[in-house]
Amino acid sequence: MKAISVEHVSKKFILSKDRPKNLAEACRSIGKRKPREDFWALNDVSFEVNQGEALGIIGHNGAGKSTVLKLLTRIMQPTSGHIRTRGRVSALIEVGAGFHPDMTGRENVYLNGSILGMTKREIDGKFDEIVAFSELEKFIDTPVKRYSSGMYARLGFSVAAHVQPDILIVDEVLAVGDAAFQQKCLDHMTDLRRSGCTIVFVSHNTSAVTSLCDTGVVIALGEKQFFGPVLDAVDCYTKFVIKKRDVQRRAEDQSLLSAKVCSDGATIESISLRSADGSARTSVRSNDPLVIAVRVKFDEDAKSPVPVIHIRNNDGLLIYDTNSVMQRTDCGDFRAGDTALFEFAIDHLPLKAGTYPISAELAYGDFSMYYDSRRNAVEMLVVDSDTSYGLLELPVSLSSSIVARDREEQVAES
Amino acid sequence: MNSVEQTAIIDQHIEHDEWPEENTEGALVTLLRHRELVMSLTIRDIRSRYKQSMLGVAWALLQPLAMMLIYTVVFSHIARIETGGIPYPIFTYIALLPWTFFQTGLVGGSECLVSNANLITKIYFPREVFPLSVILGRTVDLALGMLVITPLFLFYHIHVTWWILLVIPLVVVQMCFMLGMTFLLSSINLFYRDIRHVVPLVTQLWMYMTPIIYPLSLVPHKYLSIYMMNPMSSIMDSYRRVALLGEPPMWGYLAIASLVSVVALVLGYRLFKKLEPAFAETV
Repeated sequence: MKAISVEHVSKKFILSKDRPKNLAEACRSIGKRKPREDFWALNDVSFEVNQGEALGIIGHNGAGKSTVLKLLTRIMQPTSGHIRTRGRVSALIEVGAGFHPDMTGRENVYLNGSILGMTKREIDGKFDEIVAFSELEKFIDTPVKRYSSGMYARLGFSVAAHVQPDILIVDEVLAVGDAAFQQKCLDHMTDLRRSGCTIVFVSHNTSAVTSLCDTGVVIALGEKQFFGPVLDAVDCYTKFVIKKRDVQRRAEDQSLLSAKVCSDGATIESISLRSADGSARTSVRSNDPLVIAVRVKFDEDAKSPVPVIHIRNNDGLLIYDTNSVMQRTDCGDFRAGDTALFEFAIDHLPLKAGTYPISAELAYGDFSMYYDSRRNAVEMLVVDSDTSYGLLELPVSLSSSIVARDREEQVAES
Repeated sequence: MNSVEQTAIIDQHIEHDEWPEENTEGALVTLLRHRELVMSLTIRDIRSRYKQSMLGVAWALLQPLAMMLIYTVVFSHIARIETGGIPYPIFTYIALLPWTFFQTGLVGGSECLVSNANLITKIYFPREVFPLSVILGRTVDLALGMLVITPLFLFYHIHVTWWILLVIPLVVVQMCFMLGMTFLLSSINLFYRDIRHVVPLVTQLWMYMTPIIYPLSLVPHKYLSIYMMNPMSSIMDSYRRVALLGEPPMWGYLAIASLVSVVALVLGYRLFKKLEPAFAETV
């Protein structure tokens, strides 16, 4: 059963530089043609969500994600196309929208609850649950203007999450609040999903999207780029990210290259990620096998060049660094004009969910110089299995056994 | 599985593949469905106006009372307006109170969409709850102001008749008119913020065109029919007649005022709903 259907939806905004700003101007401009420019925030976008499914909407800032949400929640109406939804829609587009700063947390729970469509009786019934979820018991009778932004967000999310909607629409709200609360929100949404709630989730946090959603829509420049399984959607998005960043990176690279002495004797043409079956990927699951392939074109003869790879995490911390010397592998000799492929095969990638920029370098055999260096040339997106917290995904298996037991019970058993 | 069950499942399936009807319910049904939201927003409106002030809701009384004192000094002791034997303070208060309701309602009401921009761009619900909650919030002020009337009546020995019960329908007529105006002004204010500057000026002028600080009898007879086209004139004069003089209102003029109020409400609402889809994009 479909819960949401979006059919060929377009949304046009008018960028009016000379829109009359007051009545006098409006009167003067009657009859005149106003100069205006159309901006298509969305162009012929279609997708569907089944009941109980979770859809992730992925895209850059300004790609049109928020417009989709505003259309789904009926805040705005599409210029063309149809949007249909089934059941009660609750939207978390901005946490605590409608909170009144002078009113206490308690009063705002009631106010916000009724804005989100709950009846007073429903709020009465859920009040304790809402407050407990927000962990703000102590401050519930304090005016919310005294709250920190994190507290504000927690209360806002708690109310919205307890509306019991048929469709929950969540915009980039998890960015606020600490990691523990973010996880709590994600868990809560997962629970809601299990109970049959349809979820539409917008985020830049691709690992949150993949852990919550089954399908994904990638939107760029107002157009649907991809609609399908979430991993493929993230893959598609990551490629876009790289394309966009390439331009910025190139300038960055130049400055880094000057720091490293490169001879231009060889060029790193590409760094690519491949799964076990050889297909190119940008996203990978924890503990899956992965091959990092570095393609090099030699412009001069090279004697035992040393390929180097670095894996960093999103904070720029170097988490892995290896090269052929450390791997006790001699890559052999190459001649000018050769194109070589250096493959680093990883049996089980022991990383948690996240985005990991990968760099590669090619050094002379004696490390006196570099042939070429490509910093953060590719981003690896890791999706994990949700079995642990931390930095690493370790291959743990858990078992239990009784090693001692009280004597009397043993007697009773026998 | 027997055939009956099978049919049932097929039926269910067909039913599920149909999308819910587009919302075509009437204005009153929508209102009834969102009554709790209207109440919440009304409470918010009242709370936000009086929170963190020492006198709190007492301001709802102090404002018209202060105006009453000012006008009494100016028009009773200096300009000496003839009120037909009714003490000037109560004479003016009985009209000043609903006028304050009208004026503050219109000023607050015309701003209600702009000041709730964060809600309009973030959450969907029928936008008519905003004008409605502003007007209802000011009605609470009006009710509080009415509390003062009882001691004033006792103090000035006003003879009360059953006609005073007409105050309630009069308030309703006034609210219809105010609501209509608020629908109109708030939606236009969203597009042209000039409205917020115009409303206080116009209501100020309007007050002098309405029998509030002077009696209707001071209006020259030849202008009376034009003067009474202003629905507020008839409503204000009616308050005075039913509450202070203990006599019926001038039915003909009141009928016109009621008609104008209802027409204003219907037209205001129509315009509001017509412009509603553009609110979130424009605000």
